[in-house]
Amino acid sequence: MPKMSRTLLYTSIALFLAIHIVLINRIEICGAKPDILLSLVVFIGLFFGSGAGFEAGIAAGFGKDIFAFDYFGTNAFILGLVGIIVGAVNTKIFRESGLTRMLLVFFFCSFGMYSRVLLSRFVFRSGSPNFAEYTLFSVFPVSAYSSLAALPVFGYLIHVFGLKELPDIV
Amino acid sequence: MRNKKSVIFRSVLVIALLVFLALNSRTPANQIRVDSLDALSSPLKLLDSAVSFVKGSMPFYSLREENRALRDRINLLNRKIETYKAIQDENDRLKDFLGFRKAAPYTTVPAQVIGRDPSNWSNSIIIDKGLKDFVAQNKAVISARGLVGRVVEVGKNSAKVLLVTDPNSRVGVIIQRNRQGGILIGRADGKCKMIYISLDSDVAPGDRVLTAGLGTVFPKDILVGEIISVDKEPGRLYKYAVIKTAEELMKLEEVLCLR
Repeated sequence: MPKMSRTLLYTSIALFLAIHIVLINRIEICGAKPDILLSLVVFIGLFFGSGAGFEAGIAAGFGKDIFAFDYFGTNAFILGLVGIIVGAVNTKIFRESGLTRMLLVFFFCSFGMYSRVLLSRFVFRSGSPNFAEYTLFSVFPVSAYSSLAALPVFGYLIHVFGLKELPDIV
Repeated sequence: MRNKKSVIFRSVLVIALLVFLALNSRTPANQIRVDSLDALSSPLKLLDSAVSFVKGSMPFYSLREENRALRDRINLLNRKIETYKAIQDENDRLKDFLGFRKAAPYTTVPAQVIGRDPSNWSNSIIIDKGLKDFVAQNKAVISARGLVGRVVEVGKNSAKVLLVTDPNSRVGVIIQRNRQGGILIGRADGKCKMIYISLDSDVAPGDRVLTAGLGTVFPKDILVGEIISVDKEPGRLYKYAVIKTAEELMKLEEVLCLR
């Protein structure tokens, strides 16, 4: 497992968060915005393991929680879980494939959005949206858009974290 | 051994987070967020200004700006026409009623949008005005084109506005043409849905939707948007309409907070 630079990790989180807050609405399509912070957490879990993925998920999640309108800690919980799960399966999947990365982001984006609904229903006991409508208008477009955006995001992160020299990336 | 310890540590942290969330749902830990947001509002404003500066140095910017200003002017005039139409309708209806008390006019505080909700399951914006500028919680926020949302969290120098397109937003609305009432709720695709429209009511695409003025948050007769389709969910006793908001909420740059 390659060693991760924490400075790079936290700089990337700050940069991605700033992009999310100030710029990402400009590339919104039909209400869907690509979740590049989730792609970052998936990337860290995939290449640096479960511990690093969890740390990235918690940090990115709390950053998101400050600016989001939601119960404080929701994003930290969901992204932390994503980081752990991706890290746990990272040696069992073909991570050098672009398609695998896209599918992973698609799956975990959907997982995060459905987890949010489950938290709403069973933990917060607040109203949750119509399931079919939520899937059709929110989960599917956001996950598809995020998985497409994951390709350049992963390319950028592989370059920044200096992983081009890894045997499975080459 | 060390690996086992770290797995235990992570599991404990995840469970602690879940417990924190459960407690948080009873007594929201919003103050942490409001304080953090306040502390970050200055760098956020700086970042927003930097983005605006970069945008400003792009080719044809002055033409685009002029175009935008003219469009805003047209929208403002259209909004005035809407207001006059609403007043005319109201006047006609009120000829029959004596002693009707007209809704009080409101004063506004202009604010700049400095950030947006980074999550995909809620729609809110962050503005650069807060308690210092007399922005208060649960006050309506509008723009030159129509309704934007309501203030949900206020710090000293910043506030969070829940947009009408957020699934948690609820606004009492009426259809301008026939005064049919309903509730407006947000939808994840950036549109809204008006529910509780009675089955026998005459509602059609193109009808304009205004705020009903029920409750204390939203004043009466603020344009919300236009109906784009009407349908009925199976097994329900009412119709619903999909509404396109009058304002493009994802491209908002300035808003007006009602005082």
